Amino acid sequence: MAATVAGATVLLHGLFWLAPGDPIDLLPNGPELRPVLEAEWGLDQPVGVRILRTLGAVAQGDLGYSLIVKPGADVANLAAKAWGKTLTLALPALALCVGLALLLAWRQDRPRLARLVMVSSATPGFLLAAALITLLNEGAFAGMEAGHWDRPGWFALPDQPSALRTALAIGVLGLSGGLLSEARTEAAGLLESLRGSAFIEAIAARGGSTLGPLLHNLLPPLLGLLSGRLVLVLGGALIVEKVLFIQGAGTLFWEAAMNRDHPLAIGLGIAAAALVASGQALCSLGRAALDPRLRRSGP
Amino acid sequence: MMLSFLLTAALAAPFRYAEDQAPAIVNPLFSTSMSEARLSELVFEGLYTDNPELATTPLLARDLSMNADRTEATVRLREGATWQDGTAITADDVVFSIQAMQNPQTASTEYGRVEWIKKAEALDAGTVKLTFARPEARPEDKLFFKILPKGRFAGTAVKRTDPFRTQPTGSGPFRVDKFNDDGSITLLKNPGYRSSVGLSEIVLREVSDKSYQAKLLIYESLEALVRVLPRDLAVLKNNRRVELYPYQTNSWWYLGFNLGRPTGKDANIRGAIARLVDVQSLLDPVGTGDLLSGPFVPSSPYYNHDVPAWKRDGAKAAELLTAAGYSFAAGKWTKGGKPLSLRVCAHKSLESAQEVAINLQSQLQGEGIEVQVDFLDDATWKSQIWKDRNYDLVLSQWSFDRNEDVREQFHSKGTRNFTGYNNPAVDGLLDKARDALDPQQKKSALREVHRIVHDDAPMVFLWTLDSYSAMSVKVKNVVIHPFYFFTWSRTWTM
Amino acid sequence: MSGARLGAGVLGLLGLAWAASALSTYDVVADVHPALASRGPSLSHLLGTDHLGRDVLCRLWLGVRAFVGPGLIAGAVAGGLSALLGGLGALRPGALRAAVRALLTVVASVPRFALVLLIASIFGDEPAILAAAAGLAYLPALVEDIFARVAELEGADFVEAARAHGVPAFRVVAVHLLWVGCRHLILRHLLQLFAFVVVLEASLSFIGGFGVEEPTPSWGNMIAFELSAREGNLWAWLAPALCIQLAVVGTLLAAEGVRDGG
Repeated sequence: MAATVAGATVLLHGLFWLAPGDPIDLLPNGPELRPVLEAEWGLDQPVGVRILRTLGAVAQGDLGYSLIVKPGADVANLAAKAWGKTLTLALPALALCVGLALLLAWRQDRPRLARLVMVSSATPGFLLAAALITLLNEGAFAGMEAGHWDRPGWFALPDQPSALRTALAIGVLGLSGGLLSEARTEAAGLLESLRGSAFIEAIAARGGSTLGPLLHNLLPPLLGLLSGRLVLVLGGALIVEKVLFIQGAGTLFWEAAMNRDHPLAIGLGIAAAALVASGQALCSLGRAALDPRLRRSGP
Repeated sequence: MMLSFLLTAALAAPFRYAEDQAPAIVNPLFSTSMSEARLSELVFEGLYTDNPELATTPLLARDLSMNADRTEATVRLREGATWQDGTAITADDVVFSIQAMQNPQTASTEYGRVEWIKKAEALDAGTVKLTFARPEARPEDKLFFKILPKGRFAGTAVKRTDPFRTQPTGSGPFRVDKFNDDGSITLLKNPGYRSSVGLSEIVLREVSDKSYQAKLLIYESLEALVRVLPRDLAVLKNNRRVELYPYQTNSWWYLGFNLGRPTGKDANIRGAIARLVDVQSLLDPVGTGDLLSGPFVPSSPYYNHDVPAWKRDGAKAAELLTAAGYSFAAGKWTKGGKPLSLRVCAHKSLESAQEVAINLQSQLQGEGIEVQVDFLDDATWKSQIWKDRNYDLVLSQWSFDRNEDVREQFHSKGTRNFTGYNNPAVDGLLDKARDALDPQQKKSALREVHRIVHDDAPMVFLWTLDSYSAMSVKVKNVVIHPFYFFTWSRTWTM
Repeated sequence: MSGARLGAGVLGLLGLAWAASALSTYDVVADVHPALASRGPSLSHLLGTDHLGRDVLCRLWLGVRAFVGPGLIAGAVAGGLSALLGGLGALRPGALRAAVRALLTVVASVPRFALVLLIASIFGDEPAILAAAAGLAYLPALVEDIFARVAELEGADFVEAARAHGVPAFRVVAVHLLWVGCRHLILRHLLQLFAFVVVLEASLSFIGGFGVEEPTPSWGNMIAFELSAREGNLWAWLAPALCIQLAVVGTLLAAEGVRDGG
């Protein structure tokens, strides 16, 4: 995991340092900050040295500070808070996606269902989010204006954080962008190979219930499925948060990218890589704990 | 007891208002946006302010006396005025504020407000002596800038990252309580304020999704909208729970040329474009307003009503372009084989700028001029327009307080003169207007500026939009300042 | 498989529209007619006009350019690099393959959208750069699959036979392993990448800031532009939305069809 974070640091900072021209010129307020940044970023040193220095800093949890979006704020702090907020959306979305995929894959021989799932889940996240929130809001407003109902207690207007918008975000994150369809296909593949495996067939031949063993043996690869989807869900959050006006890492990343606040954007990217890597590590540990074969044969 | 309980409950309801963008910082030294200026109006005070008749009235000052040749003024401070933390406001605070604004290391955006003060010194705890660079007619009109507490800062070189920006201390009727996670800012009544304050809590909400702003007001999720979008005006006008107030901020739209480039430098080209643009047809899809012929709003005393706005004149425009060396061939104006091509830049967050720019592009292309449109975000705008001057035409808007000081835009040394306009006659008139002790002289000087600037056309003046703000009828005693909005908010009640 | 045929049909239509758009005489700039704003469908404007009076159908058609070109570029980048890396990994398994794997794990750990946005923010948001970034972001998945397939095929009969005949290692890798063994795999991934580029472009231009900007039409910015107007023509935003959905689904169906074939 440390290797992945180090690698991500080298990659993202490498992109930044190796871009044509002077990195300070890439910043909109570059000239004002030039004296400060030249010293801090050590621009007189070769790229390799700079990257090593950055690696050292990241190892100590220092991701620099934001230059434009929130001047002076510590990026590590911002990234932790922002990704924390996003995880409250991403993790339920992940669970929803994999859970639903499993349910849909349970019954074999449903090519039409598979097709339907594929078509509907192929909807791009931004489209689904924008459509749903507009429909819901316009519908609610129309109803209020027509006098069908007073402002319902459960409905919060779009400016406020609300359970409705959070639920919408989780739903869209988990079910759009092809995630559900891919997960369903993988789950179907897993189930098929498990069902066809010798020991399951043996249990069935003896007339026992295959449900228990099936589920038990499904857990390890399921963890693998989860860890594989994590990076996709985090990426989807980038779009869904922006469209639904939720203040998480996605919206912050957009602000950083649009305002060319490179330290902040790179810091958020490194934090994302760290999250993904830890997710994968956790899932690997989980798999090893559940599956003795993995423990014996080594990682 | 029931009544007082109900009253308390009523008083506790917050006054919520929406801005397109919540201010990032609360520090008057670095204000760049109107939303910051409005927020500062709640939290800070100046020596003088406007009264509801728009006459200058003392606020933190008690009175002002001048010497014979009007180069010095002695300002006595109001007695008993305190900061929100209870400490007294002293002359040192005033001197500090002026020096901080003037200190080049602070790089304050408000420097222009105090550049006319040569020296400020505290004669005693309650008296400040100001020495001016030039004789001043009515210095109190220019003493509206905010006073800051010296005790909260390390020195007069203030950094943008100074923690003051999220924990400000002011002397105004409200104090900043907290910056909330959702981007909103909560302000509470300043309990030690010397007069009564009607509202107990104010919440500034950032509502970046503009299509919902009006709905939020109608469905009582907000009490006020600072700027109503033109497309929402009809709906709000008909709503009985909402009251509309004109809020114009003396702002006007313009197309600015870049006089540093060949296309902008040539007066013939500028004159031609001014006569090719159909301004009314640019305005119609966007809203209603008045077309302009110069750098003031028509209701301004400085507007020269003898100068008419440019009219579309294709023949004259063709004449001017030919004089500039262009010839019309195959539907395009070309010179030396290269077509006349312009890059128009507009700020992304300027509402409706996209529609205007696309419409303008189409109009000019129909006349044979190629136009490329770029919509820039804030960071790129600052670097490309202000720093690099990398544009041919800029579509934007200026807002002015009641001084309507266009000096920074048109004086050759003006800090906002990024068109690069330089006309010694205009410089002279602007200096004359600034130094004039007689308001009539100032008026005639600025009206002459209007005429010359119209003819020189460093900008094509477009329009001033009919602008309104909207408030829930729950808010009583509302008087809105035409620029700062909250100047008289102390008396508002809910 | 009817799904694959539908998908192929959609792709064909997109390709045709793209090629035809090069011959189009429609002038995006000249078509501004505020007087005709937000009209519904009629004979002269089959899908009506948007709120600046521009013809929706023509803009829809030209909007194809926003992603087909970039999609092809992304495909070229991903296809070329993956063939290169896959081939290297096959030629020199062991340390080199492990090194490539490690690099790709790092790239895969940053969410694709984030990587593309970051690259756009640093290098500029020209369509070619966005496309190359998309191809790069997609690389890990593709190369992993190639490695897996190559490992599977290592012991296959036809490969052993080729080696026994003395075919040089480079040719074995390039022709037998990559072309014969992996081409369907690569094509499937490239089609999925194309769908990703469609969504990427539409999302970026919908949110604004990156991607194709007004007045050049893109299906994403058409939706965003209309949503900001009040009483608009329904088709002005519904049509682009439906087109995006159709393009993505069609491409994914086609990809699925390739899977079946390979």
